Amino acid sequence: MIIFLQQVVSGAAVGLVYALVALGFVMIHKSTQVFNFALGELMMLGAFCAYTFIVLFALPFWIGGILAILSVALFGAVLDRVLLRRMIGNKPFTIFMLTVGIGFCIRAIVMLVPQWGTDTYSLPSPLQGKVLSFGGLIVSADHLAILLTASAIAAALYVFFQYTRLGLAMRAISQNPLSASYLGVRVDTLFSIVWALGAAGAALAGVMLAPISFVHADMGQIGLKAIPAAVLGGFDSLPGAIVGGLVIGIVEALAGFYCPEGVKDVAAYIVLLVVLAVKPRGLFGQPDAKKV
Amino acid sequence: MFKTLRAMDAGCLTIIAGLAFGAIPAAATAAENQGITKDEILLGSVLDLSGPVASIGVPVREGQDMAIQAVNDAGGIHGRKIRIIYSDSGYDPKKAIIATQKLLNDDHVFAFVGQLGAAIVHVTMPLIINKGTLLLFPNAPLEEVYEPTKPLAFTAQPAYNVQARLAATYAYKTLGKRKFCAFYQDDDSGEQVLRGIQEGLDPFGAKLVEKTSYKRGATDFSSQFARMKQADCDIVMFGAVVREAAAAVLERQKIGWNVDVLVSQPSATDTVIRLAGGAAEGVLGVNQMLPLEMVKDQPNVEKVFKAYADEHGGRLPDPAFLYGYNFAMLFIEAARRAGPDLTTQSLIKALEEFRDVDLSFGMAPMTFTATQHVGSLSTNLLKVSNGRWTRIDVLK
Repeated sequence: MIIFLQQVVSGAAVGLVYALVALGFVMIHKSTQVFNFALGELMMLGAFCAYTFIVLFALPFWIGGILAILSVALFGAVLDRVLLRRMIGNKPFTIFMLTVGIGFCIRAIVMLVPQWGTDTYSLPSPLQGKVLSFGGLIVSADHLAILLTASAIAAALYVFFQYTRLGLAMRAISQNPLSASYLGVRVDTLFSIVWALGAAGAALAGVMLAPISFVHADMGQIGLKAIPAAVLGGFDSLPGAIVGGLVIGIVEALAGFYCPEGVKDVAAYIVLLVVLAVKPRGLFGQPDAKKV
Repeated sequence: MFKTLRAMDAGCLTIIAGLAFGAIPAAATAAENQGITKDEILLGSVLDLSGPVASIGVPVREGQDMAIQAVNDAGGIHGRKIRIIYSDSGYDPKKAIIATQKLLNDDHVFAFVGQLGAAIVHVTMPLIINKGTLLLFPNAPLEEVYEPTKPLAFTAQPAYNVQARLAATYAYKTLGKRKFCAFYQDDDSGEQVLRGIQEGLDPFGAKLVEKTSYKRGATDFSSQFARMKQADCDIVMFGAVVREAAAAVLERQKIGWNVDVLVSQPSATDTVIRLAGGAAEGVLGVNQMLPLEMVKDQPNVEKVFKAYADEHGGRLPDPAFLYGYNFAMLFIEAARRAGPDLTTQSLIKALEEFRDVDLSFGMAPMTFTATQHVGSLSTNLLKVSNGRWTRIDVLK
């Protein structure tokens, strides 16, 4: 039983990292109908910014981490203002391809920055190497920090979208941007805020992942695990993204322990196929119907 | 009618055969001299400069460039300057094939030096040697490069499986380990390490109690380590590459498991210590190349590193620099010995006369013969002690 729980806890921690990136996918898609394929690369950029602030500028971990998240959030807003906003009205596939291109560019730029480049860097966190034991269940402090932070972020986003005027406005533009703009909602500004929030979520995932799996230009690949997490949850549902990430992380961990070699790598996609076969709109997906 | 056709066929065949046999010596001569002019030797190298192992490819290029620059500045080899053309594979075999074909057929390089990556060497070696061009010191410890001996292929490194076999034997006989686990990357390099471990254990009738693999780029190894911990092994042999090996060493610490770890060649480098920090203490490893920290104070190495630091804002090169530098120096030494009349055959002859040629730059002394095109079959057994690799033994 302890071994089972051990796998669940490890899987949940990794799953919440997927979930944070998946939240970015969902937030941006929900509000702007854009599928942002560059989020994995924004996560990588967040990790590199954190490395710069914490290791190169020798700032304390938490301050450096927050600065990195803010920097990437600002970058996300600038991306929207400079590139994405000009694309409003274009076909979704065109905008999707633009985000693919943005991802490639971010990776190329990271590799060209002299102090970043192609190397791998460690980002030691104050919690690294610390282990907590709960009656035989061993939890690393890094994993616990991910569990707590991601849960807090999910709760904060829920409150933000449900109970704040800005959150309400964002929900309004996701329902009907035209009507929202008639009612005085600054749709373009909100789009930038959504991009900033999505990028910040990805950057936070990068900052939390870096002490476990280091900082390097290939980190963005984890975005490929976040996509099934978002789809599993219903793609337009914030709680769905969290649950989707958790399910995929935990299933991967359990499959890695209990199933034969190789099953772990496809477990996420098997779960996705099964869920979509039963619930084509994902676990929390809403029917896409309009009153006429 | 048929007779007439047969006669025509025979005539055609004679002409075709004549052309073909006439063409072979011409092609061979062309390959012999391709890339060599009165004042230049043209080399090619397909490295990963932008993909997942660019962190190795870029410093390898720096090392090769630095060795070549030094010899060119000193007047070249018998009046010829060396020029090397790099092509980026992005660690993608398809791109590597195109890059190799370009270097072979458009640039007409004399030899390939330092070709990087097991998957890349696996697909490009046939192209290179079938064209009659030399494949020298690929940066991929693969048995297929030297077993069976190929006239045009030479390597400096014993294969992954050879080093893993030596390591497993040492762990069994000297360290007294009995319950072996393997943690390996699910590709060619990892599989070779796995094979080597099993080969090392076979003579003792021992078997692996658990083996677990991962995909390159994986970030979570908790389930693999949980399985190995449950199997209660007393040593985990790694067939993992740097980043994943360091992350796995951290995972071992994270679950509070104090099992011995022995890493394979790609991970027995200073980078793993830099990434894993204190968690790397006590880790064992095998590597034919001595880690940079162990050689940097040698006068000849110090001189090169100082020149590097002067050009790069005071920083020391990456550990992979040593590979590039050594491979280029091996070529330079062979070309010197081949004399002014440099051809493919004269270079092969010069290499096959290498007997314990010691560049004193971290690599074992090299010996090549007509039947053995691997420079050394020994490897160093290393251990992390006080944050540095130290050599415990030389395994043969």
